[in-house]
Amino acid sequence: MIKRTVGYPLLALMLTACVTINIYFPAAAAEEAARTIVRDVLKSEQTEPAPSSQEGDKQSAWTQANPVLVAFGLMLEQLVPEVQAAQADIDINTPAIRAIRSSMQRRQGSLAPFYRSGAIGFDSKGSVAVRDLAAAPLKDRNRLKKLVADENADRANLYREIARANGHPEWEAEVRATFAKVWVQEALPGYWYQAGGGWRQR
Amino acid sequence: MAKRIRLRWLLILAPVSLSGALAAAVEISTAVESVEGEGWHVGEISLSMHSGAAGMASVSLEVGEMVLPDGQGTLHGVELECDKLQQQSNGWHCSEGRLRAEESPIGTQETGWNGFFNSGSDWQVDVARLELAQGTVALKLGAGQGDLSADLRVHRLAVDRLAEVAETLEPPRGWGLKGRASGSIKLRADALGPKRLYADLVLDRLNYASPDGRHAAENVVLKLDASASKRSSAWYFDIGLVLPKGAVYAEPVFVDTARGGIEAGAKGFWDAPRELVQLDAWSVQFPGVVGLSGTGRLRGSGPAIDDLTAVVRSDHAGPLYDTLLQPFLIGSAADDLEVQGSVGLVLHLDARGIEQAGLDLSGFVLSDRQGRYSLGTTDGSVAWDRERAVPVSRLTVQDASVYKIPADGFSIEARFSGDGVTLERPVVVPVSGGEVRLDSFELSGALVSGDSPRWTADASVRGVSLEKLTTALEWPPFAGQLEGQLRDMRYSGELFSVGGGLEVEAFDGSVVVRGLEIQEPLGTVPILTADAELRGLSLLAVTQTFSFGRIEGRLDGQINDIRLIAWQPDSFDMHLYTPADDDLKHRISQRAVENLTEIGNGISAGLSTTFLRVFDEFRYDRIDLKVLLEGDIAELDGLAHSGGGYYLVKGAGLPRIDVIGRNRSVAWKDLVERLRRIQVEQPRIQ
Repeated sequence: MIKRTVGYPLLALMLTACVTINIYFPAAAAEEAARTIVRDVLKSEQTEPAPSSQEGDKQSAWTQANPVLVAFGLMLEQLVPEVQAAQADIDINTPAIRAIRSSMQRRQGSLAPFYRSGAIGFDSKGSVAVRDLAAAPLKDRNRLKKLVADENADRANLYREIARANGHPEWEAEVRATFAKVWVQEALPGYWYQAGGGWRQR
Repeated sequence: MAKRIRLRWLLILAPVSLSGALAAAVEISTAVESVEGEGWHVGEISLSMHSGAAGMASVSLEVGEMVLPDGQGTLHGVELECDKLQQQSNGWHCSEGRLRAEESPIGTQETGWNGFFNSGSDWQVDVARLELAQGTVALKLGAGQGDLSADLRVHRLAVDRLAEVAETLEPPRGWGLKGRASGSIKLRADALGPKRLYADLVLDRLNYASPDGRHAAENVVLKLDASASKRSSAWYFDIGLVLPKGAVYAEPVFVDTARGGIEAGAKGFWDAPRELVQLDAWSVQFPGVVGLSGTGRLRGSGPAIDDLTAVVRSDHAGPLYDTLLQPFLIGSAADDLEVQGSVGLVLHLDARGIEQAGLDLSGFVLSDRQGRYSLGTTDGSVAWDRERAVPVSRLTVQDASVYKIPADGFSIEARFSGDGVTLERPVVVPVSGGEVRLDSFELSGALVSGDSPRWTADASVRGVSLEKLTTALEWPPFAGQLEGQLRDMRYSGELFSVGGGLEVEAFDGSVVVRGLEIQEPLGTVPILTADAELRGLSLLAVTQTFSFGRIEGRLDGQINDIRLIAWQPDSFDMHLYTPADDDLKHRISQRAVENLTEIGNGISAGLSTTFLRVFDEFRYDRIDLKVLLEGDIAELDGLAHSGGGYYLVKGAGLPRIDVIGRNRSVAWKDLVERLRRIQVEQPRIQ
């Protein structure tokens, strides 16, 4: 009786004390959203999107795998979408985000030659940085600087708006970090990006 | 300086008469092992002279090694010869001399020379051609009448190679430098040192680039014409520079000669002991862009401005903005302008910065290429002083616009002084049939470097046509007029706010907007937040405006947490309802019922297919509409209805008609489309 008198409230207290709701940054969804936006912007300068080598690799892996693994994989495939559906999604379809994406898409055509010449590149903080101003013709250097300033203003607004539109302004830094990674991953051939404290070319 | 001479041997082959003409064949050979001083050394010296006829001789001087002072290099195998040394009344003359150096800091040299020697204070040597830095140098050295002279004529010297010869000409580390130098330099000196200098030089094919790309030049031709003379401790100079060809980038300014050669000049003196540079006159002329001129005084080892007057004049405000202003405004809301007209500016600077400024505008037109604002033809002048009282500045503007809202002509009378602007009289700006009256305006921070501009203002709005205003903004057209007060407007840190609230008289009632803030109003993504309260709006006036069908009665409401992003609705919490004390008739037309039904349910009520079509209007008890917008989704609600759904219109009397919403969640774009469809179907603006 004593055990019940003491034990049940204690158990109840422990149970209630353990109920904590954590809203974690939805990294996978954010990365997917970032990839959608980044590809959308970068393809503004090219007629055909860059082929995804990852998809090709995945396909060939499936065709060569053990049938048992394939069956297991298919089973997982049925399960995984439900799990994903339960995860937080990232909304990138707000008027502000659409306006910013549109602005970045319009600018991409002007930025592209400078990305390719190595005058600018993706830095490690999700922004565009001047890598080698000398790679731009003299008369274009101020225009380049304005393009970079405008692009970085748009990117800062984009990261802030994605965080805000999803109800978590405090996610801005994580959104920016996610984009920083995706810009580099999606950089088109010839583009420069910062890695390990130096510049590398895709 | 310590000097030591070591003689190895001395041989005299014939008697010598040094007091007069060589009367007979005489040959002298002598050698000196070395002559040394502090930091320099000349070794293996041999001198031979031969005289074959009266007044004629030949001389040969050979030096095995010559180490120049201050680490300027070493010469080997130096030979100085003159086969025709002739004695004249004013001394010995050499008309055909030869000079050779097997090795020297400027490479192997072999050239002719001529000259004469009368005494240590009267002599001249003219070296015809030295090979230097892939070009040639002609050198004339001499002394006479107490002066020493050096004339240098250079031809196509490679400036990058010059740096290898003279350290002072070496560019900063990592810089690329190419180009050629030609022209002449003349130096006159006396026992006290240099006293006159003339330079007439042309640099062509000049290209340079800093490693970070912040400074560069391409295919520049630069002409320098300078003279300087020393009086007392000061050098008085007159310098002219012309850039007839090429392009130069000095971050952030880029200039080229597409509109003509750029000219610059300065006259004044430099007093080194007093660390003073006095500019009696200076000028820079950019053809087709701007002309600058003035006077000035610089002090210190820096040197820094002590006093400078600049007069700027341009009848080409567009190129002036593009060339010299826009580069400094990149990243601001003024970095993408189209500008025309004439600009005059007088600046006076002292050691603390700008002390006085006077701006004169004539036919000045400015428009933002992104369409955010514009200023039509503007004339007038602005006077500013850092500390003292200034006359009233007057500007007249023919027209202007902010975003798409046009304004007619207005004038500004204000005093610009210190860190602020004070209106002399209210500025009345005609807008959309009414006016915006700016009663007070205080600006600060705009004229202080490193500070961000901020301002406060009070204004009122009178008689502005809502129809014109909303049409200009491409919003659904409203009828009525905008009246209100904009009290305690502030702009600071890219945040515009109206602290005192905004009262708009519209639709026979009023709309009170509070907490109006616009973040980055001229940025890519302006964010507007506000709360609004609707008081006693006449639904008759509203529905006539929106061609919604006829509704009579009053309407109250709140729209809280309004958030427009890039001027598009992002979120708000709206509740519109019939006030409890409304004493007007409550009637709603069949058309209004149809439209409200479509808003609430997305489909028409279809009254026209029922017996109710014989009724033009119905009585109602209350109207109640709640819309909660969050992103793309709008949640709709109204008065609670026991049978599910919610009342948008709760009917009264007979025939009674209720409009009950069933959809609670609707895509915002669908809701907007429903409203737009209603507008398009029945345009009836009054």
